[in-house]
Amino acid sequence: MKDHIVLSQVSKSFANADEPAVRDVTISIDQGEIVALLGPSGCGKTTSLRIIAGFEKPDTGSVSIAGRIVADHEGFVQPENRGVGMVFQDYALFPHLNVRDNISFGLRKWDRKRRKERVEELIELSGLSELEDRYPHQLSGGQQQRVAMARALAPEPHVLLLDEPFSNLDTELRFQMRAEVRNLLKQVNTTAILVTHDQQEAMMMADRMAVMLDGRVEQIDAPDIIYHYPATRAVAKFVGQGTFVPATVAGSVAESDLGSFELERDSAAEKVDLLLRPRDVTLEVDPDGIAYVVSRTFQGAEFTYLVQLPCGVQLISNQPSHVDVSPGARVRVRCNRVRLAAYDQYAQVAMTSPPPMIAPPSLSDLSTSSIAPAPATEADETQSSGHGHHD
Amino acid sequence: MTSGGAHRNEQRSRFGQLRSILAAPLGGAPAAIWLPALAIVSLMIVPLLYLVIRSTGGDASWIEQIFRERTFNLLQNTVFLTVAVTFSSVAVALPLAWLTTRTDLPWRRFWSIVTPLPLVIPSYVGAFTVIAFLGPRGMLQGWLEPIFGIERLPEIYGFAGAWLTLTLFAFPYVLLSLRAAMNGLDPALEESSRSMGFGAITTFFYVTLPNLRPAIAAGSLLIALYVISDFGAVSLMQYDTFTRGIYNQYRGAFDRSTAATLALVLVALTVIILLAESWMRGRARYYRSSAGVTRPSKRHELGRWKYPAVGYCVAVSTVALIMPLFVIGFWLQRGLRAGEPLVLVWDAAFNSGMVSLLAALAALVMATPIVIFSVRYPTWLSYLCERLSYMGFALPGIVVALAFVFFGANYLTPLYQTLGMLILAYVVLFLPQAVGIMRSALLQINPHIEEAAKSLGSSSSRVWFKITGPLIRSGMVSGGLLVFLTVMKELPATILLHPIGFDTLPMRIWNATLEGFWARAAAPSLLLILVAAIPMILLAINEDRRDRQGR
Repeated sequence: MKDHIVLSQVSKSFANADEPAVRDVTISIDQGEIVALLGPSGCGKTTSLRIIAGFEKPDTGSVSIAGRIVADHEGFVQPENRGVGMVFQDYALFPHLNVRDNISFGLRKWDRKRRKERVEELIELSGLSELEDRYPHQLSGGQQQRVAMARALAPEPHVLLLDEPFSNLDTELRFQMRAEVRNLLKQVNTTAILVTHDQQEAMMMADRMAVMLDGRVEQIDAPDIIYHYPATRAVAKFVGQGTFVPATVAGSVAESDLGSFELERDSAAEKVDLLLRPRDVTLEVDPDGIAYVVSRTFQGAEFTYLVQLPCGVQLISNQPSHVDVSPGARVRVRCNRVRLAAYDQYAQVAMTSPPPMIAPPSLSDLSTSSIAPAPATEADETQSSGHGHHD
Repeated sequence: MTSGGAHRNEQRSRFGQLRSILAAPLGGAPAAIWLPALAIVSLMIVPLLYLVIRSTGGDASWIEQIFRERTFNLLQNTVFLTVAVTFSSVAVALPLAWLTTRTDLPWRRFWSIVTPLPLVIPSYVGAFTVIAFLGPRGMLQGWLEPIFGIERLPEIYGFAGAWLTLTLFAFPYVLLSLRAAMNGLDPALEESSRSMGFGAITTFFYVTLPNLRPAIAAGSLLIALYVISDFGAVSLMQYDTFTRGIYNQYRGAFDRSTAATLALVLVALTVIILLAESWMRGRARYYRSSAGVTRPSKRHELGRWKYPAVGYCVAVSTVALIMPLFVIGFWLQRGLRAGEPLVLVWDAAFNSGMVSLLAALAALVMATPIVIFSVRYPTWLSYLCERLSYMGFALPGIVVALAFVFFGANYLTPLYQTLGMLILAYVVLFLPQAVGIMRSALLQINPHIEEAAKSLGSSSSRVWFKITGPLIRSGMVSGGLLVFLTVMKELPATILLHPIGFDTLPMRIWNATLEGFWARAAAPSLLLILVAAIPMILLAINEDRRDRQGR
């Protein structure tokens, strides 16, 4: 079902803060979908979650869950009547109840037989067998997390809300639990909204992620789209590492140290910035290269290089750890991506949307929504010529 | 969005802001919480406001009252006694606290339990034992006469007796506060001082002691408030402080507004003491900066000094605990032999137990909305509400009692001199204890737990009865016991507000001692100490269990 959870122009301010915590947030989520709200601390993601749960009242806008409006300027449905399950960062297990009683807490109105079956089912599903009689303080972090999930899922909520659910686990367990929770959610086909400040977590868990900055949703899209085609510079900076490489626009062609790219349409801007992710280029040692390696950091599986481009920008580039280039060496930088995101130098928003981009000429035919074929210039050729120029 | 939509939205958000400002003081609390909370606090303040109006309202003579010589004498006596007792209590408690927390004192655990025990002896019981023992022709003189031929000991009444009595039975307050601070002191502070080349004694005076300043200030505050509000000991010792002056004025004079004026001066003195404490606590911050697990301090080895150390503990315990119990026991058996009837004592004990129980329950019920309002809905109003509920902590019992006498006689006539009025006064005096303990219990409960229960479909009342209530139960039990214990010992409010013919243990002791019938005072005193000791023991067990659960 479409539009299972809908937030429409929701805003919320707190009495003791100057800036609103949430501004004009509009999100629509389908039944069975997992959406991550990603953003730095204080961006309003947790407030948005608490507005859906009913722990906060929005100042303006409306919220609907499963076709029923639960909050707007006319009315407000209390959290206990919303059919929302919530998993808290600290799990918030009831310390005076054992695992079984924690899970069955929300099933008060079910008849005894169904309740018992449901609790058994969840204990089975969450791998909590033999722990039913333990109290929360007798469980490990991962087990507590499972109880919190089971307790929230037990009453078959319309939506499961997860507030930084993995942040109290150690790294290894976190990886395991992410996969486990995603599988469980897909298995029971529950709509879920996850709040996290961890990009990796959002990308691993979510079907779509919404990047929130300063109380606004900057972009909501599939994780790979957000990574490669951020709608705004702010999203580009927040999600993943990357470098903005300047390019000069002539007509419909943008020229940069990495080569020429044809814009999707004519631009009024004279200068644009192209977004390059660390894996978007390859490096080759070449004494005639226009760029040179500033530094090299070993990261295990890869090296992170800082490469000085003639335009003055230092490009971050990750290379497999067998590509070993010494600092100081001249290199040829080759862009290996089909399309790049481009931003007007004076604007924060990507030039075209969605998806905003530029394509290197030879590969542009891959995307219909993209750009016209480009002049036959190779990126490295441009670099070589540029090199002569600058030396 | 169209511009019209934007405009509407802006308007609505402005309206929303206005609404949130108006609703702000309530912090979104349901009426079932804020209404009783505000009502209870108002019920507490109104009589005191009336006291102010009563004492200042009539004419300008109250100003003359304040500047009379008698007022000045009372002030002088009160301040003198307060300062003296505070200093001597800290002097007695500091070595005890250090010995029982930071050294290898023999039987350390035993001493740490025994040394604070004089706390269970009410000041008027203590005063009567001191008089009976050290009086000019007391028990000590009786022992000394056959040996040394001493016919009279120096006079005990007056300043000396009051000072001795209050020090003996109030020093545990500062002892407990110091012990807590010494246990919590970061050992790294002392270790770094030692590693910089300072010896144990220099370290104590330059590092340990300055870090104990907040604890000494807090403990001294308790002592000072105890002394200025004490009525029993100063009355029995016939030393004229404000409380005694107020009582005599109230009993003896036709014009009761003089008593009210004196009460106001006493309140002013209390305010000055509270201010002095916050000033003494200083601007510096004291806390352990190291995160993580607290490391217990290494204990100092006493070596040869352990003999005088144990001797000191024995001496303090003998004077403050064994002596009173011995005197009471002595007069009890003497009274029993002379055929002193015990029936009246049982009646009084039953009455005492009943009012204490009722007051404890009332305090818990009244504390609940105040605590929830202030912890879960923090706004300036709920903060004010909580602060005002602490008022009874600083106000002398006789002032609160007087306020209720005036207010009750004029506006609550059906309640005047009833049990209900007495219990109301007790609640005003001792609500802070219930609020304080319940508040810290509730603060330890993560609000997410309540939200989790709500998101699982529970109404607010079900959350309270199934989740929050059970989780703060041990805090409520502690709070209730503490109120029970203090109400049991309370004297001035009982004297002023008790229903006619209603006899309690403190009143029996008071009446008997006033006339020097030690034998008649012995049985109720012993009973009172025992009854007071029971909640103290239960409290200790409850705390011990909570500690071991480690939650």
